[in-house]
Amino acid sequence: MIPSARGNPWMNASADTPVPAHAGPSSAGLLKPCLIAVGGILLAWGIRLALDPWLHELFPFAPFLLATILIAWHGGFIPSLVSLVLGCVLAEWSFIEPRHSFAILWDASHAGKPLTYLLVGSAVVFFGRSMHLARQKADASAYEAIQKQKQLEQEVTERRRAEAEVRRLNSELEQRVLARTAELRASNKELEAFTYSVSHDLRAPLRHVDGFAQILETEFRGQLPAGAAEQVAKIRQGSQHMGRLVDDLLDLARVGKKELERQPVDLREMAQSIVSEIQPGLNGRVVEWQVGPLPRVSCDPGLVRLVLTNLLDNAAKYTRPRNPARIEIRHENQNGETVFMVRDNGVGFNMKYVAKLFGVFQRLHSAEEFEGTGVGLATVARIIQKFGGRIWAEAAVDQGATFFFTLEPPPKPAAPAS
Amino acid sequence: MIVKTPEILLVEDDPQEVELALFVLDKCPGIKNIQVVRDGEEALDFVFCAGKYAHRTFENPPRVVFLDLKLPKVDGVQVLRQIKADPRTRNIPVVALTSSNEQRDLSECYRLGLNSYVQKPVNFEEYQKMVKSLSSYWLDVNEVSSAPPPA
Repeated sequence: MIPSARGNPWMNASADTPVPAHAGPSSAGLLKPCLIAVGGILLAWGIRLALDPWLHELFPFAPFLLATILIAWHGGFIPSLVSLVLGCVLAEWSFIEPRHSFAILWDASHAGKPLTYLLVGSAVVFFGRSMHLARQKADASAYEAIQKQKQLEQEVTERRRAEAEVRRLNSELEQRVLARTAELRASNKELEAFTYSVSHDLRAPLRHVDGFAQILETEFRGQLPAGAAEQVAKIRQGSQHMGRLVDDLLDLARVGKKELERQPVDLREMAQSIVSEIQPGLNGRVVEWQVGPLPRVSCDPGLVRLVLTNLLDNAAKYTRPRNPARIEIRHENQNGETVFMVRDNGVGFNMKYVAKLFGVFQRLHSAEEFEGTGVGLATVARIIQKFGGRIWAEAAVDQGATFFFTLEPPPKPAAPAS
Repeated sequence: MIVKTPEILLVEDDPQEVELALFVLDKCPGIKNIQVVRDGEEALDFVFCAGKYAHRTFENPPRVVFLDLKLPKVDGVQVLRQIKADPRTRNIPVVALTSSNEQRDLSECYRLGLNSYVQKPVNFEEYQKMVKSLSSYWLDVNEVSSAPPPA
């Protein structure tokens, strides 16, 4: 802002109206400054009239010259010319003897005064004109500067508003994500708690079914009608299967609840101890176990044990028709990742169904062929997922199966050498 | 009046559970006297010789308490807390015999001075084996402090 430009009483244009820098004079644009010129001269005339009793014949042109200078500065060439002529005429008529006549103009010997005025006035008019042009130029550049500043301010305001909007949207999004995550976490917790309490509360009645069925079997042996013992045996089979199911589901639920605790684990030692636990249940089957060198890893020992137990148990189960059965556990380095694998020469499965393999209650074999609950591999997958690792399998019908897994998130791709 | 020393105090509210436990315990040789109480309040009355067990004395404590943790009125953890907090009853071995193996229960119980924590298996044969070995351990193998309780 330039206060002087605004506060100038002689400025015909307010700061908000564009002033063309070098606009040619037009009739409409000239009218206003010309009227101001006439008004200014009339004002000068009035002042000179008011001072006349003291001045008499002194300075008949002075107020008009002053007015003309100002008009030239303000209005430019044409208005100042108008004021010059008008001032000359008025001064001649009103203040030069003989007054109220233009007699002097026709009298060559007395024409010196108005001619001098006109000459001096012309010089003033030309000087005023250049002053006027300079003023116009200054006004225009001041206006331009003001416009630029305004535009800049507007842009800044706009940008600030946009930034605030982006910030608001971001925080809104963040809030929404947080709320949704909390909801998900809560419903997950609820689900886990539900699974847990259902499985848990199912155990007691199941034990009663199994217990009383067995009492019936042992205490009333011989008293039962033919066929009844078989029915009781079926009751016991059912309750025991459900018991395993409940125990497996409890394992699965516990994986969700459990906080990860990492500590160094010797996987080879762990695998060997699991093998020695499985061996007695194989009823003398010939199984060639190959526990390869396995690294010490930092992981949750309880959960890793559950993974290895499930995979080795499965391998032992699905190699039942083989003699000898071969079960191998080893590891490999693939693209900087340690990949563990459990391979068997068992019945395998059709890769068409591989997507179902890790789902809860999904089984690829009938219960008559191979007993099972359909929860074990789901638990394994859940644990691996909890570690941030991956698990996958390759198999073919009657060609055995191989389960691959990692216990850590995949390494980040190396930064390109700079 | 002759007060028989009970060998086992069974604290269990579920009648079917009691029936199965007694079925197994009755078959164990050498267990002569089993006292069954049906809630936590009665268990405390029995151990602290109060209420309808006021005729009992602290000189004849049960040799082992089989305690269910989910009980009406006063829950199992509370019963355990009171038994282990009192110098007159602190030496009585308490075995939590429960379906629950929730980690929170477990560590809290051991902190309170529980002697053993056992999860009952669903399979009845395994259950029988477990009850038999528990009884024989606490009644035959384990030595109970014979020091008279401080007055």
